[in-house]
Amino acid sequence: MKKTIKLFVLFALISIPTWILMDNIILRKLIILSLEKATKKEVHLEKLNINYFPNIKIKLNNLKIPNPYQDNYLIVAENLFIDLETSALLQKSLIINNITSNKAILMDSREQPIKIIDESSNQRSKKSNISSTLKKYLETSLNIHNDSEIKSTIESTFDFNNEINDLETIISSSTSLINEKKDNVLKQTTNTLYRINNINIDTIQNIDQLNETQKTMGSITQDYESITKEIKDIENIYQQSDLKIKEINDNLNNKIDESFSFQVINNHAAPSANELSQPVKNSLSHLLTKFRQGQSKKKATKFSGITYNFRKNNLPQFLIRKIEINTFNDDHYFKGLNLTTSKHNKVDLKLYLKLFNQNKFDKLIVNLSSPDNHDYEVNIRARNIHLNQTKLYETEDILVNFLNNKTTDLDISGTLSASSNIITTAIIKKPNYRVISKKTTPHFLTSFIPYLNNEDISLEITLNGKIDDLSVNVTTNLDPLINNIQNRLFDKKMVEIKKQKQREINRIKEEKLGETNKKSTEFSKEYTKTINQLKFQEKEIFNQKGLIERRINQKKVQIENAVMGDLNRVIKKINLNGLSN
Amino acid sequence: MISIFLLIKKFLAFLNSNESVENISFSLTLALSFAIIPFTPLIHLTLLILLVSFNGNLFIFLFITPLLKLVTPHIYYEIHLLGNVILSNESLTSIFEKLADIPLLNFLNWNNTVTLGSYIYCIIGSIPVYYFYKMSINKYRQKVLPKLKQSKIFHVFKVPNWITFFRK
Repeated sequence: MKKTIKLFVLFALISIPTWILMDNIILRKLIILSLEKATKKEVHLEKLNINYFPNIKIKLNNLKIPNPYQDNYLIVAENLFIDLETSALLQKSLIINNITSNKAILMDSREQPIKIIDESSNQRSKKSNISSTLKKYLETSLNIHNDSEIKSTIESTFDFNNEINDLETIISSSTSLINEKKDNVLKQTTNTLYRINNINIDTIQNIDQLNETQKTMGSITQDYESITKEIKDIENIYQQSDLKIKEINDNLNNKIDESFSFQVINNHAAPSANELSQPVKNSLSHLLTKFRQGQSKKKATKFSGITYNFRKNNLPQFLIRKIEINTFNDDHYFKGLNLTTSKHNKVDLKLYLKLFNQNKFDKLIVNLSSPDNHDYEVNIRARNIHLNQTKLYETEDILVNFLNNKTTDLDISGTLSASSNIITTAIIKKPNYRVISKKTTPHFLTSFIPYLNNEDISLEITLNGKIDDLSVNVTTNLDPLINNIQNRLFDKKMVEIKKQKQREINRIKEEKLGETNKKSTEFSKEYTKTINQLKFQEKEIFNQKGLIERRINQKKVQIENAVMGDLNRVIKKINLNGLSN
Repeated sequence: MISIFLLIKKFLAFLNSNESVENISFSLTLALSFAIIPFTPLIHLTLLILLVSFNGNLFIFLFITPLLKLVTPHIYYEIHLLGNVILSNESLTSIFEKLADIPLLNFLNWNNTVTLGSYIYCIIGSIPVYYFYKMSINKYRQKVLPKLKQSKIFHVFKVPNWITFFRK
């Protein structure tokens, strides 16, 4: 036992002076390590001095604490004084009476802190989600001028199969009817011509033979009339078919014209009801869901039981009674009173931050107060936020850039509590855009985007309710603004589209009507060939019939003359016989 | 691999040597307490001081503690139930409130159910555990060890000198 006591005494004798000598080195290292763990960036602390009596007082020289979310330092202080309450440490409480600094720069971006670990992919995914949502909104809002979509939609409405099928049916049925009739007519004409050719007028010697031949001619004339009638029928069939074909072509023509009518183009090209409020809502909901998931992940660590709080002295685990960086007249000023993480301590919490003439904004004032550590009144005002040039929209034809803007204001006010009620208002004053056309052909956005120049953009987000069931309301003037410009440009756009569409009409007409015209032309050609052939045959019959009829008449005259001559001779003979007698 | 083998050999050597059974049992009991109590600097430092003060076997303590530390988190829920019964007892609240105001006592983290449960287990269970270890080691030395000495396995654990030579 004596040995143990000796060991203890020896340990105390060695450790106490060692601590007194090395405390600044050990504490400096501890502070650097804990801050680096929290910020994931390199922390700079040149020197640290500690005084233990009457209270623990720490003086930090040349301290640089990096901002975990941005490439700047939260604070760069030449010196920082910390006054701790020693008695509270025995109660396992960290009570800081005072933190002061007279020479400090807040949010210093003159130097960039060095990263220790890459930023979490979680944050990157959040950022990418917001930017992708905005990009998607802009693309859908501006893409209404993309004529290729309209063209494809209209073209997809074309279906000429019925008309072409009708046309084919008419042509085939008419052709078969005509061919049938043609065969009949050709048979009849051949037969008739054969019969005509068989008539030999020279062999007619008497009246009986003549009468017989005239009878034959009568029959041939009947055949001829029948052939003529058949040919007329063929002509009628063709004319009816031609009328039907013309009707189909007219229908086709009308259908194409109607497809490109003003109303149809109007319906397809009218401004769509895109709203920024919905994507913003979705983004916020996404962020809240991620936040809740993160919270539940944190909770789901190794089981560590329940810690009861039996303290009656209301001493919180952590409290900064007062923190003051610089003086109120400085550009960088921060003051906090009763800052604590404990919910059980009813203290009047106040926090005030003032930053003027920063790289990213001209003025930022943050005011946070809470009388009971449950409801926090928040008031944030940022003036002249500097927005860098950003690519808003890009296609293979065009690039739209949002130009550098230094007149953006942001206001956040409301109560942050179990049932929050926060109103966030952002106004981008007089924004300007630049449109870069990548091709020589003019793009419609070249005339659209300039209308947005100098048009203030406002966005108001209202958050209400519990964090688990937060209702988000977003109102923005960007939706009506874009719709307004779209409507103003609509007529102009219609002319542009119509011009393009006229070319389309001609092309489609040429393509579709050409197909039907080709079929009807072939049909007409075939008909003309048939009708000519038949007409020729008819004419031949007519000519030969006429010739035969003329010759029959001549023969008839000859026979009549011969008969008359014979008769005269007989009469003369009779008379002579009478005279002689 | 050779190191683990040598460590096991060393552990068995202590079990089989003339090292007092009380010392080994004491070291094992402290190792169990050390593993079962969630890390509390004051308590763990005290346990180490106790080990050194009462001439415990440091090697056995350091060998067995990490092994027990792998197992003990799995019984934290049962320990929590024990701690919760006490801490949620309303009749004891006034005592706890007084305890909470005592400086330095909060560093023992006694108001946590798992920690308090483990303290109670250690206070109540240490003595039976100590005697259990003591009895087990005695039985081992009396009955198991003579049989082991005759078996081939025992010879396997006899490390050739050249292995220790390489370790040097």
